[in-house]
Amino acid sequence: MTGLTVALAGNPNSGKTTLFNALTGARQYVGNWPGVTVERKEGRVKFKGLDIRLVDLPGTYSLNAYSMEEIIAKDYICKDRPDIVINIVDGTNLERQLYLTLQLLELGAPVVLALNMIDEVEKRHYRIDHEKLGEMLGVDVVPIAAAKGTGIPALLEKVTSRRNMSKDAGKKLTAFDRYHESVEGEIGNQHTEEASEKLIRARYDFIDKLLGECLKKADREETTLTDKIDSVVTDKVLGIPIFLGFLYLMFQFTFAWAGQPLADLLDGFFANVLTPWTEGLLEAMGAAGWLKSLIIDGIIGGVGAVVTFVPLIFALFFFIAVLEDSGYMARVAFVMDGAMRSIGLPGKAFIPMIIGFGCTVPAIMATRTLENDRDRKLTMLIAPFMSCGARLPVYALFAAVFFPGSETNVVFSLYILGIAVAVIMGVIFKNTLFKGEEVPFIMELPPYRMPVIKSLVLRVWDRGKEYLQKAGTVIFAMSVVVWFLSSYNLGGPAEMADSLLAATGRVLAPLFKANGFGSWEASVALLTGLAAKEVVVATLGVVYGIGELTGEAAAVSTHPGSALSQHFSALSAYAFMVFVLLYTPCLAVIGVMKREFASWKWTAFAVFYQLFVAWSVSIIIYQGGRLLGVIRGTVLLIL
Amino acid sequence: MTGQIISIIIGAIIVYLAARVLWKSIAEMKAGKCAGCSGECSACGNVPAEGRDRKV
Repeated sequence: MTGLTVALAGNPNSGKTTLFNALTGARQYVGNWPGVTVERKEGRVKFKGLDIRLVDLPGTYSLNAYSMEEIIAKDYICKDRPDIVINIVDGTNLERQLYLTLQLLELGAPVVLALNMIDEVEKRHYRIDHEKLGEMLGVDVVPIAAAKGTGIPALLEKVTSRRNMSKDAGKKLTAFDRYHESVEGEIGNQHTEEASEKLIRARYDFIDKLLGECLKKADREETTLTDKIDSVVTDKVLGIPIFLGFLYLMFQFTFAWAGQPLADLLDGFFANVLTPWTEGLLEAMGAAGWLKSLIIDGIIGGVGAVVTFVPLIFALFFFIAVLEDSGYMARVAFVMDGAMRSIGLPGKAFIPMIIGFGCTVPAIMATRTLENDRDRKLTMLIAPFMSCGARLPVYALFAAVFFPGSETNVVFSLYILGIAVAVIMGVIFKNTLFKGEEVPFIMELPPYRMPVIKSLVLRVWDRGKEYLQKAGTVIFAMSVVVWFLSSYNLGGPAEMADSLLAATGRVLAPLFKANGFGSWEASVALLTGLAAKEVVVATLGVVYGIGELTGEAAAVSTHPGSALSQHFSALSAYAFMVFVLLYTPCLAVIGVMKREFASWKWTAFAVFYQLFVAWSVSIIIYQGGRLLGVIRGTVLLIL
Repeated sequence: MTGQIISIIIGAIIVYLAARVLWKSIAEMKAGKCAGCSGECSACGNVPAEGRDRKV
């Protein structure tokens, strides 16, 4: 079987990843907002006996090599020289998208033009003469709708036939050739600023000429639904309250409507079905007491405490996926851009921060889209304050015990606090470590699209599966470790209070006395939570599960709730959640920060400063809350 | 006696699995990947941890 290397190049949000997925059957993350792909990916597709290696390049507006994406795309096209470049362009926005096409053709790349979103072009009553466009550019142009799979076989057909053509065989002089010759003659190899401006102008003039002959728009541009919605959601005054409203709705959906009721059912299954059944089985086998404790307290107590929150994770990510796929998240970045720039922060930094709502690891990696190293470092330092999905089980556990009926408000307040701390730290850094001028942020707002159910389900399943995989790997392992450390000391089996875990916790506990959670149990939960945030819940499940069992074996639940209320007050529980929100997310984040900072010094700084911020803010909350309580008590006494 | 032997065997299997998983997870996390990362997760499917190239 012969091989062919095909690169996919195009503007951000032109549908490259959708086409890549349609061609390869892969399930790469597709977001309806620019900048989703920041690295190149490879896949394979077989067509008519040809083995096609497909390379999806990051979206770029041009090949000027200003940002990381542009460098990756340009390097690949110039150095690796793929056999064909499929240049995917959004048919509803040809004016700007053809700029990259011209640059590709100027580089001599063998281009096949995929005219994407042809369905939306028709909906808007645009008429594109794609044959004429192809004639003028000297390339094959194939209309497609990647999201619906329309035109994909025709595209592959053109790609394979383009390969069989020798480069200039029988080629007529095209409009592009004439433009290129004239530009070459006029500008040549000059690299002055004036020559560069001239070249840009010449490209846009040629694009105007192309569109003048190939594109006919509707006589009167209708105000689209997107325009109407945008006039409200991107409004200077209403934009941020609407975003906060959606955030609130997300937690209401997660806790009150969908997630929590299912989580309660699952908890009931663990407590009333799985645990008694396992106990019975172990009894029947004549298993030793320590094995029963390891399986019931350690594994079911630890892993079960985490798994019960799976429905919350599904609900949260379903809502996030709807916001992203519909195109609303791009508006959030736009709205926050204005707010962040008004206080001197780079607006583009909010995109990695939004990604951080899901997971901090890709959020740190997404900082690669920032051109400026200073802004990149700053964003890497503040993005971890955005509350990731892994912290949700901790909030859900504590909020259910200490704030029943107000879970939505509590979790909402934590997310807002995370954003506020990120912004405050950003302002501090911007005025100290990272002084400098702003780089302007240009962002395309994609049209609103109805989320595709299949894509939503796949993404939510992906995240749920990832969570369960985590439960079956690191959380399982950490639960066993925590059980072991809580059941033994150097002299052998021991009461939990005399165990190695308790001894470790007692060393750390004084540090958290002023925070209101200076118990060894809370301290070790925070320590083990460095592996992954869900481990905080697993550890509490093991530690308090054992505590409950030693009292009365009948009171088994994967929810360490009743024991929690004996060790925390509502105020100290909130301070604990604040600490979990703000301290170093997990080892994986430390690993990715090390790679992206390319410096141990910066990584260590990031870890310790986050610990310090978490510790300080948590103390302020706890001591401030106590002070308010004292004032309130005094006032009531006086009255 | 049989119960004790079964307990030791099951306990050993659990400890072995936990140790193996922990070892692997720590190595992955040091490389900047989430614990239990399958490399296919939609969270960072586009920004793979191991480097620039990615096979699907």
